[in-house]
Amino acid sequence: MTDQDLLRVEGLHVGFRAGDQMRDVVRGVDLRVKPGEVVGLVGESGSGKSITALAVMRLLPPGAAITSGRVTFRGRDLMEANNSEMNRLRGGEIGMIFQDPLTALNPALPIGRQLGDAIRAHQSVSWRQAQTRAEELLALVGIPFPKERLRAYPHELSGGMRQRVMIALAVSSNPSLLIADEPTTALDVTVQAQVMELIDRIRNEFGIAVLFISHNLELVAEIADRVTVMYAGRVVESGGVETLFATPNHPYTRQLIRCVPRLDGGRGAMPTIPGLPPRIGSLPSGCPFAPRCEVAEPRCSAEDPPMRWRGEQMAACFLAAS
Amino acid sequence: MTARMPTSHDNARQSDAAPLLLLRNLRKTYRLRRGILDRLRGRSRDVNAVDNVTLPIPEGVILGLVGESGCGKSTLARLMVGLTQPTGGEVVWNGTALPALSAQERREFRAGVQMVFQDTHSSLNPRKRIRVTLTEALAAHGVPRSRRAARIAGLLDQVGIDPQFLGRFPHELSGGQRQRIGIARALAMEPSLLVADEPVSSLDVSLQGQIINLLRELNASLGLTIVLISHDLAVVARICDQVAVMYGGQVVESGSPGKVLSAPSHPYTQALLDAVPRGLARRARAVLPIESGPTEAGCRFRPRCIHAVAVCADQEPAPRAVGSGHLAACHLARPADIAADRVGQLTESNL
Amino acid sequence: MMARVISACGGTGGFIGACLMFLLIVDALAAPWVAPFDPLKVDMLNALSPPDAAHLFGTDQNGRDVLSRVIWGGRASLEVSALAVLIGGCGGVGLGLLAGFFSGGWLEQSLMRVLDAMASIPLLIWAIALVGILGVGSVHIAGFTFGNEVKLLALLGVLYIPTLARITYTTALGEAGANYVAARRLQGVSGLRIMLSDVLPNCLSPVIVQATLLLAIGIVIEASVSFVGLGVQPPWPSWGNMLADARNYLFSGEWWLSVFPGACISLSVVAINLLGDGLRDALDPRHSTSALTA
Repeated sequence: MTDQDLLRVEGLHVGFRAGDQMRDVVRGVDLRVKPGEVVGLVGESGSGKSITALAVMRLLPPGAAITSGRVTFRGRDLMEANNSEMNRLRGGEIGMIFQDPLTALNPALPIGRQLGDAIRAHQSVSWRQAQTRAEELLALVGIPFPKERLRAYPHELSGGMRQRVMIALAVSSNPSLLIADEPTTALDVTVQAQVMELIDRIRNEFGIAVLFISHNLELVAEIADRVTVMYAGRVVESGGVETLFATPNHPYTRQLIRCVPRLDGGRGAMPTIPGLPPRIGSLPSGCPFAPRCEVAEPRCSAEDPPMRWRGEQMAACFLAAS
Repeated sequence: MTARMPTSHDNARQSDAAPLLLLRNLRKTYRLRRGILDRLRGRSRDVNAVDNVTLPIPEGVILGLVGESGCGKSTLARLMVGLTQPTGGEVVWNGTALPALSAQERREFRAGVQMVFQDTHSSLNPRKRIRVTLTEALAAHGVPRSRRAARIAGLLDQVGIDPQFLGRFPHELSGGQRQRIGIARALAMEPSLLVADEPVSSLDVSLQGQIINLLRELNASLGLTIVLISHDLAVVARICDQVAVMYGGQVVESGSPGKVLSAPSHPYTQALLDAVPRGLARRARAVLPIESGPTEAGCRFRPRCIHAVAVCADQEPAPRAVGSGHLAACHLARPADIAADRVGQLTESNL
Repeated sequence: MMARVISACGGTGGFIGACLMFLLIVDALAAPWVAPFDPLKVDMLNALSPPDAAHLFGTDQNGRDVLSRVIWGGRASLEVSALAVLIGGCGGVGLGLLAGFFSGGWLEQSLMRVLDAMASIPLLIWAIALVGILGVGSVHIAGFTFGNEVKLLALLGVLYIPTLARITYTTALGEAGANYVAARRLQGVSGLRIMLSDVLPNCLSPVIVQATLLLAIGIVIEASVSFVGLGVQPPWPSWGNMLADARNYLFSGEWWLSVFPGACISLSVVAINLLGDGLRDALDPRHSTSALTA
């Protein structure tokens, strides 16, 4: 990990309060994002990927807390930051977009007002200047008739438009990092394509780094430079996107890739990973994927697997080549 | 349950045999509430959620119904199973239109056509244990008390759920398990047609296959006709015998997945295929223009179609044959397919 | 074991509320045996004596034992409010369920309008007005004699109907569109059957919580109406009319005449509210086996 890292997460543990104990749902996650690069964070439900993002932004729900680890942004330790510093960062240097734009936008306020508020929260400009900027942003994200649209309420816009407004909100203060948590999951596939194209364009034009969180492998492969794969709260594999998809080093990644249906994938039964992901209360010892792994050995359930490095690629598996 | 011959998956069986269920010129209109001013001006805003859909569902096939939100596929599903009544057209079951069924035939239809829902949370009564949910389904089907336990055991076995879950509540099961119970409940009625409305959309990718494979197996072993509604083209390509693409309340293209999903004849189908993420291939995609408001006349898709010509604004295209069993509702559709790189050849003189 | 009971009541608050409610119910049912003295027995020699060993709560201006009167008063309060809630509950849930389940037609519209009309009448005014019109005598029906409170509880019950109906209606409306209801329709089950066996149980939870609130309100209303003399008639005690009598003695030092009945009203209301909150949590089937979600 170099000093040039924009965002650096080391050994992050996040737990939920259950009774009088803390149960960790994120168990030792390392992550880094360099300026201008797109890092994909992939995992299925229960993998802890969204919680990781929320923890980075210190937006954890009540009952959850970071139990150990470090998060640094531009060298600044975010654990030490107080509330007002975090507020400056959020929406300022770090923009966030979430999965459901309907609940992320205030339904009672027109979007011009929400954009104006966001802009003025981080820059000292007049209301008129903020509205001009808002109009520019709407045009940037491809919303037709931006001036008229400033007066629209969120429910008057389609899902895709709302997500564009969210993106406009997120980039309104020229952030250096954009955290996108399942930004297209709730959208139709054609709208998803439009939004992905927008994110790509913004990333290229402004050099914004992106932490792209998704359960959709194909989507992540399209846009990311590096990918981190999570399972049951742990990072199981990470590395450059091409190598990871061409020669996945962890059985979960391999099996997951096989499960993704492809248009050119022939016909017949669909591949699947047998069993169910572990529930928070009953995490097995050793490698969490061992019960469902097709190449598991006895030691996999006994000890935690080591992190095997192969150049830039890391896989947490006894059987990974290094 | 009478044994049926397993059907092959490869070729779409054409309508020489009468279809199990036939949707004929089906229309479902919703009247939008008008404001006072609109009412005074006599303007009404009706939405055709399903607009003149004709679709045969042959026995024993897996039919994929694809489309994006607002295309009408969910409404069509509810029309198919009889949960809603059509505003126009008819649903024909075994040769008879639904309203004309006798009481006995009506009962047969009721049991014979079942549905599996998308949202696993609301598809099972949260206050009833699994055992109760299944028992009452069997009771509704007329299974005598003495036979119910055995039947439940059989159903659980068919869908792959351990009997220990009988005493649990739905919230104690995972999404995939709830979906299996939903399928078991539908199977309790011994249906001949199962409409699966986005059965795996809320499940993880690694688990979707389990449910899809279960449906496939039920089709193979029981000859159960399945209508699979999905937005995932790849899944449909993989297991469906036939596919119908919906846009704006209409079926714009239908045929075998091999044709429709690799060499489509309708621009919307092409746009859908273009939009599917291709991972590392990262093909530069032709991105569809943003949807604008409803059209007054002509083809519904025209505002977003890169191939649109003058006639598209005047006349609504009727489905026409572009291949064996392959229909497309586009003025420009020809047995030689429309592919994005053949735009140059399409001029009005081609019509 | 204790933990299971507390959990069944929906937490510590609910447990406390349940205990107090239990005491209240026992008191109401067992009044004739629990009360140390005859609440009507006049004893002028001992009038206005402060609490002591013999009379734990003291005596009132007629020498009657305050403790016994408080116990019997509790019976009146609970009787009126519980039966009112029962009437309101049955009527309200029934109407709300029908309106919500068979929505989209004339049934829903007409029922909702009727309920709107009923809901626009303020409870206390209604109670006072009707009792004022019908008088404060006892009611004789078919050879049975009912005290004045019966009128009261009937009136209250009717006025509770809109609130409970509205809650049921909203929930029923939501549940009627749920997929499990659609699945039952696909099984050919009749609408009425689905309404009663599938939708009704899912509507009861918010209704029960509201019902406990109405119970508390009922106690206060009964006390208020009795306070102005239109409820339970003397010499029978009610917390309300005991407070009315105590009005004259507020500043002359006989604190026990007002404090005890007043405290009982407050405690009952608090207990019922605690219980209601606890029940709301306890009745959610997800409560007992909630899994930790991340």
